[in-house]
Amino acid sequence: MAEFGVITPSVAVVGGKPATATGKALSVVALRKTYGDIVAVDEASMEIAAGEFVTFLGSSGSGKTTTLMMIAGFCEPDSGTITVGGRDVTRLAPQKRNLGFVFQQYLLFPHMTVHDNVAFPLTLRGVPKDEIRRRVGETLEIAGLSGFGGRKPRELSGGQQQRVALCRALVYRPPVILMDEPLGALDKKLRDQLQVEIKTIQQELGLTVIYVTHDQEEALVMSDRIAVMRNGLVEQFDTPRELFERPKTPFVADFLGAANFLPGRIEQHTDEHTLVRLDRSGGLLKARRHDLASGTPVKVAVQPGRLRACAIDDGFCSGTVETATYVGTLVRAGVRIDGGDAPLLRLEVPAGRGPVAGERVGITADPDDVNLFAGEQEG
Amino acid sequence: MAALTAAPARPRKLLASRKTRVGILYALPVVVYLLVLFVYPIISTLFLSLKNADGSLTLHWYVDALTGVNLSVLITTLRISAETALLSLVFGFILANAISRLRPLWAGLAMLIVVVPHFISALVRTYGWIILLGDKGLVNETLAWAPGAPYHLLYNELGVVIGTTSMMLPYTVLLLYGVMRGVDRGLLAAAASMGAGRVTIFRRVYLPLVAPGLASAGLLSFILSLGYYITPALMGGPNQTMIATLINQQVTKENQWNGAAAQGVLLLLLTLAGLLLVKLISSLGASAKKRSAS
Amino acid sequence: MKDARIDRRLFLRGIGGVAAGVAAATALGACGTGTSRVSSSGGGGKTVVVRDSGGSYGAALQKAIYTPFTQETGISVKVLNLDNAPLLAQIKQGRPQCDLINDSMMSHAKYAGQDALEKLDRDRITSLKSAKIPDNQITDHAIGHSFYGQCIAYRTDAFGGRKPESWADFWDTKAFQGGRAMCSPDGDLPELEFALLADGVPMDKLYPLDVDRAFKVLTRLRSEIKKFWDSGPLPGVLLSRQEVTMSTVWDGRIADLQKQGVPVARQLNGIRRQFSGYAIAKDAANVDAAYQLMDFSLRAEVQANLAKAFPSNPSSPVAYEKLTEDERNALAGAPQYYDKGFDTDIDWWLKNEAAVTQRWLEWARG
Ligand SMILES: Nc1ncnc2c1ncn2[C@@H]1O[C@H](COP(=O)(O)OP(=O)(O)O)[C@@H](O)[C@H]1O
Ligand SMILES: [Mg+2]
Repeated sequence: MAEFGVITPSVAVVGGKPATATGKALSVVALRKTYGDIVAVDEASMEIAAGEFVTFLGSSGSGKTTTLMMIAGFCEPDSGTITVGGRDVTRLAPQKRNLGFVFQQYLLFPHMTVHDNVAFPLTLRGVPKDEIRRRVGETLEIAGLSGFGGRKPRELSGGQQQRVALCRALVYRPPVILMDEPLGALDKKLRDQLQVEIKTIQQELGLTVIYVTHDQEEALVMSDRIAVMRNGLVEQFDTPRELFERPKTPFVADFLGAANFLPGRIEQHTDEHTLVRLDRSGGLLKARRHDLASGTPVKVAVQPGRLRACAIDDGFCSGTVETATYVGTLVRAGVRIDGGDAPLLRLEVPAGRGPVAGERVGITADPDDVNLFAGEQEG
Repeated sequence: MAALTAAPARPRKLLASRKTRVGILYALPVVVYLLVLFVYPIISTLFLSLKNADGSLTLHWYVDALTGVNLSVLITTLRISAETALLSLVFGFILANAISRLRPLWAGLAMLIVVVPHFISALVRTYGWIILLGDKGLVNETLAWAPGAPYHLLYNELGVVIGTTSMMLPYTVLLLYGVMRGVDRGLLAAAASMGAGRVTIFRRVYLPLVAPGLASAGLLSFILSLGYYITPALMGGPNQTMIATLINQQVTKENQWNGAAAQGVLLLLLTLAGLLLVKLISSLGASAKKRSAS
Repeated sequence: MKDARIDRRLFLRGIGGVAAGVAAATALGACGTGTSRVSSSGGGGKTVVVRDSGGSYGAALQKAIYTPFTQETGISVKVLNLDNAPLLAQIKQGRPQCDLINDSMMSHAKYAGQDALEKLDRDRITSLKSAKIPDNQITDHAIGHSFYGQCIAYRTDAFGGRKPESWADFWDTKAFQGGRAMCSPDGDLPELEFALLADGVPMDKLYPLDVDRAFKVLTRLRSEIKKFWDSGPLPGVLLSRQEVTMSTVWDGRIADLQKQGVPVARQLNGIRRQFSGYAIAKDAANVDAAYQLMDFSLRAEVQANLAKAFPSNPSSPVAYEKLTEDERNALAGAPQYYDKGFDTDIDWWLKNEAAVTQRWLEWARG
């Protein structure tokens, strides 16, 4: 919930695709990888456009790294195909794929200077010496590392080392750069700073990046599109706005928006809306139109920021405000719904108009902000 | 403690002096150990090597040690040691590399196989080598069809180097294995991700990273070989007599300690020279790299 | 070390093959871990400390000599395995750990030269007469108790049924083809005598050795010598692996190979004998008991018992009479073989060993 404040503006920032987007950079079809009984990656498919910044987001063990490793060629898929720039690379050795890779542990060559580290991929490609010097210099300058070329990696801070690693991965302009939790080893402040830097460089140079993280905020700040992964499955591959506003699964709704869940049943449909009878309060809630038969048990999901407090009789349910905390421009409130062992609903409303503790309120939401998921899912 | 409570007026100073005293106390065993086990024997050996029969100082033991048969034995010793160092490095590298890729259990087993010959008595080993390398041994029987067979693999320099190399392998393998385990495999993957092929990765990433281990392993087997004489005696002929054999003969047969001491001092100097050489080469290499980088 | 080598050969003799090697290695490893000085005052009973080289030879000594001695006299025997150099150092400091020393006669001569041995009172060794110990094995400081021999060993299947009769045959690589092995100075005294015998010098005219002539003769064989052996089992190994067809060998070392059916045999013609003996350390703590043990050990029947337990050749001619025909025939020291060989001239070697060894090293590197 802490990241909530950041979400709204970031969605706006990342809304448009970069101008450099030109066709498919990479496509993955039905990629599958198992380790014994464990299905690490389950039929993952996605198409990534050139110039796109795509993030694999999921909690630890969800198969992000495995997917990335299969794309990089460090691990062979059981089935499925990987295409880079139209070329099938599924069975190719890593060094033949011409991709860039930035590792969480930096993995700079300790026996080489910063300059030599960055120059390494260029020397492999037979680039003339003068050009190597020029390009390394340019790249280091972009990353704010001019003047560090003569140092050994161990003489740099963690953030600087990761910048070098980034330079090393982009200096030879691979069509796709893969990054596995590159900021995972850094502290929060540095992480925020580097997120912006990486994003800026990516946009300026029009790089295609596949980025792995378990941090929703990081994903939302940086990505054009996010693949939310869970237990080896890609739950949803969409823009941050879509993921946030139109989650396809309760997991996505919860993972990204920390949604409130309320059990209910489809009551009836109107032309534009679907009406849901809530189980506990018995209130009637208006949602976006869904093609679910009447009587179907559903789970209602609404983000805390999309719930509003209203007059006690105007909402789909009512309750008592138990907590109300001011956090900057927002008030975060916990509302105990009337009736039985009713859950605590979480609200986030602009400060000033917020409810106060002890107040009796009604709760309402814009039907467009209400998502329905079929099935009796546990809260 | 007692001193502290007894004189609370100047606790600081007392503490300081107590600290140094305690420090000396802690260091004492090490100092005594070094004095007794290293400094004293070395100095007395040095004295022996410079003493005439009548007690006066002389250099003639050194002249002896550096002329005639003694000199050629010395040169042989250096040559065999160098060959051994080189071979045990090459084979040690190959073995350690293979072992470092095995699972821990298999690695342990493989290591055991490398180390076990060390604990077999010289006699049994002799027998084994004859069965393997003799004119009627396994190698020659299998290569009977080849031109020039049987090959003389024993009782010459080749035999000695085979023997000493096998004795050195445990050291080089253990040392290199340790260094290789310390190399982050991720670095190799990183190089591959940038497009480096196996040979390039080996040459430009792996080798430089294990180079310090190679230097010390090579040096170790060189130095150890300098003092070897059992294996050369088992597997060589008179032309492969090593300096340690001469020292042994002088002391045990002729009760001639002075000449033996002179040769011992020379052996020590050669060892130190070897150490210095490796140090020099590695620092030269480092400075050359620095220059090329800037 | 020299002594350790000789003793190693002694206790290894008769035990061929690899197992012996293992035993030797462990036994040698145990050398030098001496027992502490024991004086007769300790524990009430009398004690004597004897130095021997341990191993299977030591075990035979225990069985054939020490245990019966304790039974007879009540004097307990402690054994000490110690090398020459530390033993000498102890004696020189006036505090030898041992009383009786069992070692090669050549070592004893060296000890005596360093004034490390008691001058012996022959009247206190009654078995000298009863066992008829030859005069040449009785010196002022030591008495020879047994000897080992160095002779020819050869493969019986290598020469079309012919067998080498002499050192001349050993040198004749046309009639007796195949590689040779001889002893290196690390194993034993250089084998100059054999070269001279091969060149026609009569056995009783060997000493003083004509060193120049000996090396000249050795040079003739040099290219055929595949290995200079430095430990007892090696000649047997080389013969059984067919690396060589003929080798010099410490007598007794191929007996086990023969039992295993390996086609090897020894030729005692021209055998070189070297004696081991007893001496008493200077300023020993238990001189009386040391005399008693020496006297006991030199008895003919005790020497015979030891020869049954271990293939050593007693110095007492009487001892051989107490053996069975078969036991006697197996020993190179049996009277019927005695004329075949010669005794090493210790005095000559004491004077010349260093120089000859040095020259040998230069010669062998040629
Ligand atoms: N080399 C491997 N051997 C066995 N199981 C593995 C291996 N690598 C990953 N896994 C399993 O595959 C699943 C996905 O792992 P991973 O891709 O590393 O997840 P993430 O990067 O999302 O944390 C996990 O359950 C993990 O335990
Ligand atoms: Mg991961």
